[in-house]
Amino acid sequence: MSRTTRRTFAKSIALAAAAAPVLAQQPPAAPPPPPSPLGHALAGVVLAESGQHLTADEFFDIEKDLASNADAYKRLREFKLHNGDEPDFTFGASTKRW
Amino acid sequence: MNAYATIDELGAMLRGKQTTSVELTKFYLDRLEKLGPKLNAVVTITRERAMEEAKRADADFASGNHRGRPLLGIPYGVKDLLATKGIPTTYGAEPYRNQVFDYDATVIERLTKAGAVLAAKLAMVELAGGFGYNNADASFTGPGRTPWNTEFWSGGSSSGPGAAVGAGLVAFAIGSETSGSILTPSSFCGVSGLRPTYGAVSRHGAMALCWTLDKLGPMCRTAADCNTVFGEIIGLDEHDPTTISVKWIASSMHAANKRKARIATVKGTYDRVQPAVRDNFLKSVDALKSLGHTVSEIEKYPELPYGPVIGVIVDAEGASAFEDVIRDGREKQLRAKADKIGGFEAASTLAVDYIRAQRIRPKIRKALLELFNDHDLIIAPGRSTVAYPVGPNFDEVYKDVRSGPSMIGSMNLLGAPAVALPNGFGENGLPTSIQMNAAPANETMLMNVAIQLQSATEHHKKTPAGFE
Repeated sequence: MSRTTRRTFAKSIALAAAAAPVLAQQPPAAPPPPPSPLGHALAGVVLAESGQHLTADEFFDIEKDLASNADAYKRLREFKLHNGDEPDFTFGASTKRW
Repeated sequence: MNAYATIDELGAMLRGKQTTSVELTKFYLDRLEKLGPKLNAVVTITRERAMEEAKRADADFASGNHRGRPLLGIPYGVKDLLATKGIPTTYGAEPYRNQVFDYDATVIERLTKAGAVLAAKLAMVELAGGFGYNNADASFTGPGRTPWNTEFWSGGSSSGPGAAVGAGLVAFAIGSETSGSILTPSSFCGVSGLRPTYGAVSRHGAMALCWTLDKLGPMCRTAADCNTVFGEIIGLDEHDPTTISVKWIASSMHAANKRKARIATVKGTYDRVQPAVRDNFLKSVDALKSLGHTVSEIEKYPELPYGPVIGVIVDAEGASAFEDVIRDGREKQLRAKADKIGGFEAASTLAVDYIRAQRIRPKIRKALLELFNDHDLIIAPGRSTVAYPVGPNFDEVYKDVRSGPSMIGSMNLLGAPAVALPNGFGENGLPTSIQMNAAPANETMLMNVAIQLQSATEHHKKTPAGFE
C-alpha cells in the first residue's frame, strides 16, 4: 500500500464524508506518517468512525501511532500458539463463588 | 502534631488521649487545603463527611469501641476513581468532572466500617492513563508534583495519593494500579506502596480501565501501615466476582516473626539505570543480606512479549470501558495531547489481537510462576530513574537509561503482589525505591520482608523540606 500523502488523505476524507461526518476543519501541518499497511488500514477505521472529531494533524498523529503499534503487534503475532491454548479468562454460567 | 506520624503512632496518640480524631482530622484538612494546591494533589476536600466520621470515631473511643480497630479515627484520602456517595468522583478527567454516585465503593465502605476518616478525593492522571499520556500534565487538576522537588512529577496514575502521603497531607491513601500506577508514584514521592494480588481487594465502585488488570491498594508512610490498611480492605465481595481470599497477618505479628526469604535480583534490571538508582538498589540488597536473607540472581528472565500483551489488553479493555467518551468525541476534552487521540486509536484494536494477548497470558503466568518455585521474592529498582521533570514529554528525558526486563509489566500480567519502598535519593534530591514482587497471594512473605527491611533502614523516615 502506498504511503499516505496529503492528496490521498484529502481523498480519504472525501470518501469518508459519504459515510461519516467530515473531519474537523483545520489546515494540515504535520509531515506524512511512515508507511505501514496495517497502520494505514486501522487509521481508516478511525477516520470512518470518529473522523468528525479529528483535525488533520491529529489524524496524521493517529496514523503514525498505529503504524508504530503495528510493529508491537508483529511481536504479538509471532508468538507461537496452538489450537488448545485458551485465553486467560473462562466463561462461567454462574459468577456465584461462595 | 507530626504530619508524618505512622498509623501506629497516630493510633497510639488517639488511644492515649493525646489527641482526638476531630483534632487530627482538622489538622490534616488544613494541610490538604494549604499545601495540596502546591502539588496539584487534591480534587475535593471532603470536610463535612470527614468531621462527621471523626466525631463518630471519637464517640467510639469514648465508649471503648476501639479494640482491634487500628484505623479508627485516622484521616485518609482516595484516588478520585472510587465512588463516594454524594461527592464528585471525577476520574481526573474533564468529561467526568461533575459525576456523582449514590453509593460508596466497597473499599470505602470497609474503611468506613473500620472507623477511618475520609478527608479527600485525590488527584489522578485522567482515566488512570489508559489513553497513553506522555506528559505529567494529564489531569484537569494540572500536573501532579512530588513534594521532594515540585519541578518534578509525582508519578502516575495515582499522582494525588503519592504526593499527599509524601507531603503528610493524609495519614494514608488508596491508589490503583493497572500497570505501575501504585509503584510509580510511590517511587517518585518516597512513600511505601502495596499493589495487592489481583482480586485480593474488591474493585466494586472503582473506575474500570482494564478488568483483567486493575487492582486497588494502599499507599502509606511504611510497609507496616500498608499491611494494616490492606488487612482492612481485603476479602470476598459479592459485587466483584474476581475477588479472592488471601491470607493476612497483622504487622505486629510480622515484626515478631521474622522469616528468611529466598530473594532474587534479575540480570539487566539495574545495570543501566541511573547511577544513584543502581547504588541505592545495591545497598538495599546488602541490607537484605545482612538481615539473613539469601540473594541470588536470575540470569535469564523469561523472554516473552510483555509489552505488546499488556498494551493490547489495556487498549482493548480501556476502549471498551470508555467507548461512550470515544464515540461521542468527549475524549477531546481530555488534557494531555496523547489522551485526546489515544482512545480513538485504542478503539481500532482488533478482537483477534486482544484474544491472542489473553491466550499468551497463561504462558506468561506459567513461566513467571516457575521462577517463584525457587524464589520467594523477586526484586528490582522500583523505577529505573527518579521522577520526570514537569514540562517535557516523558520520551524526551532520561534517554540513556535502560530498565531491562519489564518487572512492572510482567508482574502485573501475572497478577502478582508487589511493594515499592523508598531506598534513598538520586538526581535533584528526588527519591529512589526498591520493588519487591511475590507470587500471587503471598502477601504474607512480601510484607514480612518489607517490614524487616524498613526496621533496618531509615529511608522511610525522611520528610521533604517545605512541607513540615
